[in-house]
Amino acid sequence: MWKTMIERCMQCGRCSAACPVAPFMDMPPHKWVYYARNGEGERVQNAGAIWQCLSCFCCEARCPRGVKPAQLAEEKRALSNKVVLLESLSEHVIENMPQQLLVAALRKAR
Amino acid sequence: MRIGVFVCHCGSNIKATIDAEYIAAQVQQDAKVVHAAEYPYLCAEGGQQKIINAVREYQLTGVVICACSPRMHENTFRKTAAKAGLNPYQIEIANIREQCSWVHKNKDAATGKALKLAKAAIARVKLALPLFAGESAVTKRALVIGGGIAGIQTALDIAEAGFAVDLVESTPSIGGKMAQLDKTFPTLDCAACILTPKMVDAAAHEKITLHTYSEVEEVEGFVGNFTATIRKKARSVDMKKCTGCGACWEKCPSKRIPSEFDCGLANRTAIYTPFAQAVPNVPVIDRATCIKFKNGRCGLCADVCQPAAIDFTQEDAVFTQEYGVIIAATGYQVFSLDAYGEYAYHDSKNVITSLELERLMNAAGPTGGKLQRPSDGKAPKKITFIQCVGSRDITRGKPYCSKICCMYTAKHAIAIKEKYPEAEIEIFYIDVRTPGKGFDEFYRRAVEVYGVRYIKGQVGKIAEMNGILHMQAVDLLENKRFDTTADMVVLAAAIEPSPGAKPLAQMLATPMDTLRFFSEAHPKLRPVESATAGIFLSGVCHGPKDIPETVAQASAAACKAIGVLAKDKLITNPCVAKVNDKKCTGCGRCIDVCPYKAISLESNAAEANPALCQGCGGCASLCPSNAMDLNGFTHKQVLAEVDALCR
Repeated sequence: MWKTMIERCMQCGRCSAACPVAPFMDMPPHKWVYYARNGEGERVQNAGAIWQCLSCFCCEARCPRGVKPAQLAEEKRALSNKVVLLESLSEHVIENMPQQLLVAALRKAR
Repeated sequence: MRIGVFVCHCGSNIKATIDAEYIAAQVQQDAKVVHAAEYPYLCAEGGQQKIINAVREYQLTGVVICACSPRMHENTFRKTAAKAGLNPYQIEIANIREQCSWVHKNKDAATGKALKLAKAAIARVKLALPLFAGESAVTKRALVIGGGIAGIQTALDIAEAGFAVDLVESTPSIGGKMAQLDKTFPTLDCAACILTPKMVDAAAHEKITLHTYSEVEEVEGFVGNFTATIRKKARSVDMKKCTGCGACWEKCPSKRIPSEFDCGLANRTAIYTPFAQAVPNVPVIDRATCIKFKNGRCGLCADVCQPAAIDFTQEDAVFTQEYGVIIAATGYQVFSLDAYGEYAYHDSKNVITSLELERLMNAAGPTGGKLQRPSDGKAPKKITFIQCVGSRDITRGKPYCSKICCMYTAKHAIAIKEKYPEAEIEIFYIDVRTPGKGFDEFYRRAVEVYGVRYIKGQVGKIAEMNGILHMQAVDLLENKRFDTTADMVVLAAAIEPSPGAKPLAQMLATPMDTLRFFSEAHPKLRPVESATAGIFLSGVCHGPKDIPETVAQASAAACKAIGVLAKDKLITNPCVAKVNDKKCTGCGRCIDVCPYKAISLESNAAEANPALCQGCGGCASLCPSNAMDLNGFTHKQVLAEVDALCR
């Protein structure tokens, strides 16, 4: 299922064009799918981008091929041992954290 | 019954996987098989002669050919049988190529399966009855539905061959989408300059009858003998009296109706011709917006019409006409961008579709050919094009490539640069597809000579602020997200079949694909015929095409249609449904299931019209009282075949 889904990607770049945080990422969403398809999933795993992903699902909404880059990032986060603890963040950050980022943080912060 | 079996090697296509000698030896165990042989190419002249000789020498009354699919060579071998003096319907084909040697690797298993298939065909041929094809007459008149460049070309070609043609168009003028275009790729000649002479030719041709502002309402019959009911909508203008002077639309006070022809970028009046070179040059009154029809107070057009051509009491005229062939040429429309909110098409007037740009660039368009922003009339300094909006999109759009966008966008870029060399042009693309004569050279000219900037990437979002379109975009070769701006954005929206295509397909009982394009009878070998005999396909109603391809297909469809019209009699297929009226209870379920409208209820029993029936067998498999059978595929034959396979 997952394999056929990423095979559908035609590298048009709409995910990266839509992504609100792509300008700050070391690896934009279309590259996650590109590397995953090439069997280089660890490059995605090691990218800082998967921790910047807001899980806003813009990439999935705009994808003309039904590919889900946000799911891919979620998988990579789940496979990672890296955990961000909520208590390690300052009160200011938590107060001002956008709601969507907080949703994504459910995975990031345990 | 004396049966002969012939096994073809098809070079190595069959022989590499199937032991042909073994099959020829094994089938002779059947007492009714009096001769069996193998040959490298049965379809070749030598192979056919071998069959003819054997039929004569062994006095064969049935022949089984173990070879390729019957779709490939059934007709060839039927003709061979006829030459040898055998009824052409007493041959059977066992498909041991497509359904056996091509799909299996193990030679023993494939040979075993091929032997079973051969035995099944032998069981069938034992029960085959001689069938005789009938004849039907041909009405020497063609109906072309759709008056765009495809329909016009088809009508002209058929008329030139000497046959009468009725060309039906739903809008007030022929010309279609091509009439809306500015220039045409890859030679940049003006669309109107090459189209209008054809429109005039079609109108003036003594063999062509134009029915504009008309629609086909019903079609009955079969190849050679169709009957169509056509509604000529009330124009409210007498076509014989009108001189096309234009006094009426100059005086018409309802001036604010968005012009369909100008994609809503300009207004028209209630009495109007869609464009200046309209054929026929006779206006129509749009009754939904005409003041006279709304509240009875006006009639200015009638006051100023010197020949007194305005007729507010005119009614729709419905007529029926017989035709030998029908050609569908219903064309396309631009796909709705409602699902693509991110491109702000509905929010900003300066985000337009490519067809709208054609009107803005056209000397006869709303701006007289000056490129102006629809919002403020200013000349845009920077224009951004976005490709594949709705095309190649399996979630919100169309899965196919619309095929024309890459080339028309290059054309737009060149045309803008020609007029405004200072303008800056950016094109966001996924792939640039330019297969066609002179196409890639044309696209490269846009890049190399005109300095158009092609960016491999897409735009994710557009927002207009203070008259400037702000975009977030990605450059995939730079692997970089960036923000950019433009004064105007042009979206290459996908194209889709006209909404009238589906009801027409139902009327014609001809298949469409899931995307509502008409299906061809064979994707490679019969590309302009539909699966229904006598129905032909012309232009984009069959799939996305540019103008050269459309014209080529239009002429090809005309050629196929002429092939039917030139005959005095048509040979009908004898493998059709046959009713046993002693068994038939007259329940009528076969009538509902028949896709060809071939069955009717006559004095409490079903009757199948052999000329309409295409032999699909739907009725025969459905009939609850077993009264319906299919010649050449009788229940007995099919069951004997299944028995042989299971033995």
